[in-house]
Amino acid sequence: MMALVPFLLGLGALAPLNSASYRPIIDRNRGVVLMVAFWATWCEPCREELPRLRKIERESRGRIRLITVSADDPEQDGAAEALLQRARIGAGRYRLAGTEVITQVDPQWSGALPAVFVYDATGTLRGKFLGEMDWANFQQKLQQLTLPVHVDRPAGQRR
Amino acid sequence: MRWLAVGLLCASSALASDFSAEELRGLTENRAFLKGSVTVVVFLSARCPISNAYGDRLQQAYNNYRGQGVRFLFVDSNVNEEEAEIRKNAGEHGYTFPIFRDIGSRAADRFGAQATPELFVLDTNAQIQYHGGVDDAQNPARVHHHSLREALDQVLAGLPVTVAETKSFGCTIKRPRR
Repeated sequence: MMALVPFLLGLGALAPLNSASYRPIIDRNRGVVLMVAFWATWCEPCREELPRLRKIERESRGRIRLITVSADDPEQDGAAEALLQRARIGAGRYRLAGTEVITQVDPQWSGALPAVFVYDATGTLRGKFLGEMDWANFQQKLQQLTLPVHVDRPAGQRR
Repeated sequence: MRWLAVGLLCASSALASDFSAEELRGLTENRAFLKGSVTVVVFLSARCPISNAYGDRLQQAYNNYRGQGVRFLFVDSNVNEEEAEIRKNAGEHGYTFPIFRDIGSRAADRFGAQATPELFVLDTNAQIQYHGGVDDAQNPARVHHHSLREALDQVLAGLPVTVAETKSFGCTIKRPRR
């Protein structure tokens, strides 16, 4: 019965994510600022971050999107889904299938968690936040990336 | 990168040690000390669940390779983990290996270690031959590559290490604010 709860709430199982599927997922989300949060059920600071990241996404009114990537073994999918559900994260839920993605995301990253990577609307990596989150810096980065783009026009040209 | 082992533990105090006082002094003052034998430097944590989950495998590696002349240095570089906590955790997990507390996280800085568990295998010339995780899966039943074991066997045999670097997930080492 408990297994039906995510289904009834419209939440799917965690989708596997590997080095072949990572970039296409980033590309599919072009047009918005993307937060990719790598986390694990055993990582306490990761669990604490999730609701706050979801709140940022919700309050951005569609300008910022959150994707979560669990680094747990598949046996932990149930526990991971329950934690995501508690954080009201219903979409963009993945589980890593292979550690090759670590190098793909950032060759300098060892796999230390928590880790949040921020991509701009063109799908370019613009920020990485490893370890305990510095929320002030993080918010500042998001603000920079979500500012409207101003295009300089030649002098005298009417707007 | 290759000289990083020099000065390891210079800011650390041994919590439990099977090194003699003379050896400890040699470790901190004499770079030649690290050149005599193959060394495994393991960054671990008392609080990190994934580090503790690898405790049995680390203990097994210690048991299996110590007799072959491999030196193990288990290092806790987390600023928020005190000596009593490290001792208690080691006791609860039945560790028989010594753990060094890396005050100021200097050893972690010198090695560039980011997470726990994260380890480095050095050859007899103190050159890093392997950097990464113990193996490729948290669940022992799912392990395909015993990365540490394979690297150690190759280093001990005088062969080049086939996979010199792996990535694995772990807890971020908590360093002091600077």
